[in-house]
Amino acid sequence: MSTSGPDRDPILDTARAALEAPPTGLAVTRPGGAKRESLWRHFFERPSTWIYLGILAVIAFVSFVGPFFAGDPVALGNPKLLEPSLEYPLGTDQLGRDYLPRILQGGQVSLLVGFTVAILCMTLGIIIGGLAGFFGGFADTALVKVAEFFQVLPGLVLALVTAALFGANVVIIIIILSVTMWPAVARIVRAEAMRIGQLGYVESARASGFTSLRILWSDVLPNAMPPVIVATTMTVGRAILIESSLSYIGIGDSNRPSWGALLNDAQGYLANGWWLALFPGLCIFVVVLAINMLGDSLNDALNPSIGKVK
Amino acid sequence: MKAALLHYGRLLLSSLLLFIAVLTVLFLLLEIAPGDPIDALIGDYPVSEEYRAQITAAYGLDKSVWERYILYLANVFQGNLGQSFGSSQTVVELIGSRIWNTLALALPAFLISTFGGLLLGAIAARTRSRFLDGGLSGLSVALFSLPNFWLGILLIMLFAVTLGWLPTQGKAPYGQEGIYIQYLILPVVTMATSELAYKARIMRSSMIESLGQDFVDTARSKGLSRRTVLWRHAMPNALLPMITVSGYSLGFSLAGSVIVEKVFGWPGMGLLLLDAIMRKNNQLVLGVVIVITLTVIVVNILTDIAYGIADPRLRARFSGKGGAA
Amino acid sequence: MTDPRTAATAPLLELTDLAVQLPTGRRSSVDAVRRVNLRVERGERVGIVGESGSGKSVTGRAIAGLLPENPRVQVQGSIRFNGREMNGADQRAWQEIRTRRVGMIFQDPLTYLNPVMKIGRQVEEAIPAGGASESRRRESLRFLQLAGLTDVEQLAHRFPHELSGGMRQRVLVAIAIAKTPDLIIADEPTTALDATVQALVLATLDETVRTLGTSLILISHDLAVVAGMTDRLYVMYAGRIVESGPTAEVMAEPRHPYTQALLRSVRSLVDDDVELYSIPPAFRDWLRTEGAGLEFTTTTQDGAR
Repeated sequence: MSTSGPDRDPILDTARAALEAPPTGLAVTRPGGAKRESLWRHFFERPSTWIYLGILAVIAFVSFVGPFFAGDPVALGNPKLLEPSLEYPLGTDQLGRDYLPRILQGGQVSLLVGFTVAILCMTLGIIIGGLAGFFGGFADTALVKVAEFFQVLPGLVLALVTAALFGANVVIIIIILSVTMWPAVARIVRAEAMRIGQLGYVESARASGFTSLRILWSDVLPNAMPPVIVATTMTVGRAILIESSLSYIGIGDSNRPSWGALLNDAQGYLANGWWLALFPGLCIFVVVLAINMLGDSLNDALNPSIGKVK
Repeated sequence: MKAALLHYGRLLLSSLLLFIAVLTVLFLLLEIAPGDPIDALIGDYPVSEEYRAQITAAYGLDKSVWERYILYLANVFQGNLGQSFGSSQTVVELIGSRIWNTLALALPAFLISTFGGLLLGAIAARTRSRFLDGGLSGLSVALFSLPNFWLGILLIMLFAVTLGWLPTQGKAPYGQEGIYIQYLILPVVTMATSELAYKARIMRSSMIESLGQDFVDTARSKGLSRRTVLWRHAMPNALLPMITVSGYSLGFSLAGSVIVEKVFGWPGMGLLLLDAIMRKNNQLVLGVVIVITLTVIVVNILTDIAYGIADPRLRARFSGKGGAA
Repeated sequence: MTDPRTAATAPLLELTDLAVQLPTGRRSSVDAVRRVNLRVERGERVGIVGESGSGKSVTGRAIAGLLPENPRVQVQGSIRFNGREMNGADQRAWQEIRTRRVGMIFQDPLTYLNPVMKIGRQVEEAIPAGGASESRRRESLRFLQLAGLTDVEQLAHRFPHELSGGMRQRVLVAIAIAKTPDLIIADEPTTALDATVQALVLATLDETVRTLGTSLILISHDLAVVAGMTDRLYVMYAGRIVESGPTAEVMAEPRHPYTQALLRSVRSLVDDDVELYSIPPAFRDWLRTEGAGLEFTTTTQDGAR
């Protein structure tokens, strides 16, 4: 029997001494801090993020500030059905209104509805989903049932019925859409709350004497945020699509037509007014696309799952 | 066997309760809608006093809320959805005459979007070309973000107005009955497109997840070719969640059909609903919504059954062969 | 001491300076295996012991060609089967190896079996192509029996979830032997099982390998498992082999401090008199810095390493 390998006795002695050292005690580490920051940083480093945010910022800015500069959306004096030109960058419509300010104004309603609904959904979703997922029991079952309810009675249909009975205005639409879309967000919060609630450090926090509510607020929810943020982003896009569908059908504020309503008017002039149908739809498309791409980007950055190596 | 009965019994019960919940919400909406409830029912129609008295009696509007509620539920469960105002037909008859038109759109769209979505999703997942995968992903996000009514309008502008290949509106040439194929094309394409994009995305991630599962390693360790591993092992497992997704997406597509029917002037249930809303024919509105809801519930039950049959782990419910520890 | 190797005397498997890097993030990688020299002779049973993260599983998968299909996965060094170099070989060559030469038994029988495919078919798939379907079916039943399962006719029509953990693991064994391989690599074959079932499955594995005369690489974090079943032993830590030699001798007189620590912690679990011991962080620091690269090899009687 022979040994090979360097013969380094002094070092072996050090090793043997280290072997004798007692194991250190348990330390409670709370994940979330450093890791979370690096995920966000990752997100903001990507150039695509800024492109999408830029597009959205421009559109929002133009929608809300633009009308002050662009002209009167309801003034009738212009020639009718003019193709886009230097004087009328987006042409004129069948009643002789300059199309550009109408398009700009149309954005206001859509964007307003989209973001308001998303914020409401996020708030409701976090509160109810967090409670349901973390505490379980009645809140949990109730949430599941409510989500089922809105899957069976789609938001669009419910909005139609409500509009028929109560009349159509922006507030009602925001309310209906929020009511039908929050369960989806809440379910994600619930799933995350349940998952995080199982993790070790939650148990140790509990053992340290923190109340459940406090744990939920300061530990569970912050770590549940990434998928929630993605879901909320997507909600903006979906809300805008549903809102424009509703206004296309005719359910919306007739004084301030949103893009969908403009498309409705445009359908009678497909042969001789292609720009009337092109621009409103294009705006909806670009906005929703930017939002969805942003959401995807967020998803990639905040929920990293590289080619899984086992 | 007993487990199966228990599961499906519970499913039917909860579906029933869900249906009643929807009916209740609709009833409540009617109740709290502004204006006289009789006006809410009759809408803008000019009616005589006698007719009003008739309606009041027929709907028990002089009775208490509870009594009306029970009467309402009883009516629905007997298949009586009331009378459509301004027409001699009952709501059920009206819906019955139009529902096939909607199905003529919804079913082909469902088939196309499901198979197309599965195929594209599988291709995107298995391709090693990042270009192709990225391209398909980008395409599906784009289609997903597209308002379907705008797509419909663009298609009309291109294929009907400009090129003249296809008709712009309706389901048949003027005065003709039945459904003509060339009228069917654009609406079905419009309906299928965003659904397809959605399903492709889900299929892709389902497939990727399936490919990452451990049993794929076992399959590889047998020396099976990459293709065999994909089709024989990864694919069947990836398809399981797709059953659920496809089934549950029907609800969305029924809602979407309302829009598409408006774009193309397609005389189906959706257009009926819109029409009823415009004319404040609230009985009809309610009736259509109830039918839509019922359809979705039934489809959900069918999806659950289908999944139970497809997944052998759940088939144990039927045979009683459970999983041991 | 060099001895000329001819194809006839070449070991069944020889790893020379094997190194594997695996991607861990968008831009980062980890050295899962740093420098491994290992060999397996025909009919020999070799154990690889180490904690999680030591690189033992990765080594096993590298041998079978089952690393993730990710272009960022890098393998350096030599992997020789019967003298034939496999690292860098094309897909077809590896497929040949996987189809006929090397069988792998995985850790978790629940997740490593296809949940929607019948047991019988999963075993049949592993039999190299050729032969009528009827005879293949009979073959698959035979392998199920060899793996220690009873009532195999019935069993073949069942799905994985209908079996117990121990039975499923034996199915994995059946799948591995169905190709009558020269080498079986068992990666933590009993870790997911209850203690009582562990012994049974190990006995089955032992019996099967003995009957078929295949070589075996048994990978485990559990010294007890490896000690009972192997002729030679490799101890891995942080991607390197720190000690190797005949199992009995390594266990009796471990030379590397890590092996000593490992033995000590196992004994502390088993022996009530010994104080519970876990490897202290200070020691790990040492292993990482000054102790890195330290390797002890105990040679056998005939002078081979």
